[in-house]
Amino acid sequence: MDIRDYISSGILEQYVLGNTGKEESMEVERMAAAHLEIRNEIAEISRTIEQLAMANAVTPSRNVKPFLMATIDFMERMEQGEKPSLAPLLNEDSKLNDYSSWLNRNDIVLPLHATDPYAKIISSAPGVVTAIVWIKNESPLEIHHDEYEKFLIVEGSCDIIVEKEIHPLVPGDFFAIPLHKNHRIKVTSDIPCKVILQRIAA
Amino acid sequence: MVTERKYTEAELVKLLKEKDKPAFSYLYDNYSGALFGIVLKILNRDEETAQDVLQEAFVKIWKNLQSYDGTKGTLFTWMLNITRNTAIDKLRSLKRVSIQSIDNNVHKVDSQHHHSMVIEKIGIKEVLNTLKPEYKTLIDLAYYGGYTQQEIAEKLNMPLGTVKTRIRAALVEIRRIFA
Repeated sequence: MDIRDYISSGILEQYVLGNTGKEESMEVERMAAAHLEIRNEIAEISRTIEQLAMANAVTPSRNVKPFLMATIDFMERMEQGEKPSLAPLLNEDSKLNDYSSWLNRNDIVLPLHATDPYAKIISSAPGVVTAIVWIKNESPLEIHHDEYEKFLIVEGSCDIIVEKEIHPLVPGDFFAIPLHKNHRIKVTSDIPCKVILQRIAA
Repeated sequence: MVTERKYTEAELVKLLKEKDKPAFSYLYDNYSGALFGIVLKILNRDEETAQDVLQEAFVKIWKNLQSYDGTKGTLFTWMLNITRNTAIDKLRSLKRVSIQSIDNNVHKVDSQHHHSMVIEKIGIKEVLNTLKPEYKTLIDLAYYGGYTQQEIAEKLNMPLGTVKTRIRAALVEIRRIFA
């Protein structure tokens, strides 16, 4: 097959995008191994796709990274043999004492150079994730349509602002974020506000 | 957490394969925006679901780095494909999309203004908007919608060969814009 025709057939774009089947991919790889021109073309297409994506980049909420890092940390801890434990569901009557076995752990602390917020997952069950979270300043505005968020304040203090209502919270206080409402958290203490956070699929 | 260190792609891949968390943090800082832009497009700007998908995709990236083969593609295109597939699986599981609504969505996506997000490099985005509309539609379907050439051909009622060559022509045009 003529190299130029092969390139202009559009198959390389599909290959780079992962849209080719196994047979087709192997064929492209054979052609690439044999022809520098095809290798260069694949590199060029890859670069264009990356530039296109970078040009259309949208910064995700600041809350995503801390929970991603916490998820990875939790997966590693489980792989390394940490015994899974089930944190009780948060409700109006929850007491800090109910969570003392996690709150007293010396590996669940805020590190020196941490993201803000910083999270450590303590329990994961289908549809329910429980974490200890430290917030230094303010958490960005969020709205949940398919997840309940429940808080129990451990240390420090914060205002949870739901739409225009301000709810000042101190250690021992419980708060549940209603669905479909804009909310954000503003720390009102000098020290980071430490909370137990439970996310429950709605 | 601002990652100050810079890595070459080879260093980054090596560290990631060793499950190095600072390298992963750097990867997130540098590529999450590009990937999130794509996820948002695929999920029609459903921000909450898009955030879940972005996290799920990065977890898969972390778990599967061992199997990344640099001879078969760049790290970014590998991540992009994982992310797109995760978003498309999500979209299909939500059954929010029907064949009929696709074309509407494709046109709607860029006209929607997104208040809470920072869209970076507006200049290049505007240039992309100067692409011929049929090229833009193809790019949106193939790159952001995750449709196969066959599906696009059926959707747009266009011969398969035309779909292939036009996708290529669109990319060549974009390449010219970036040059």
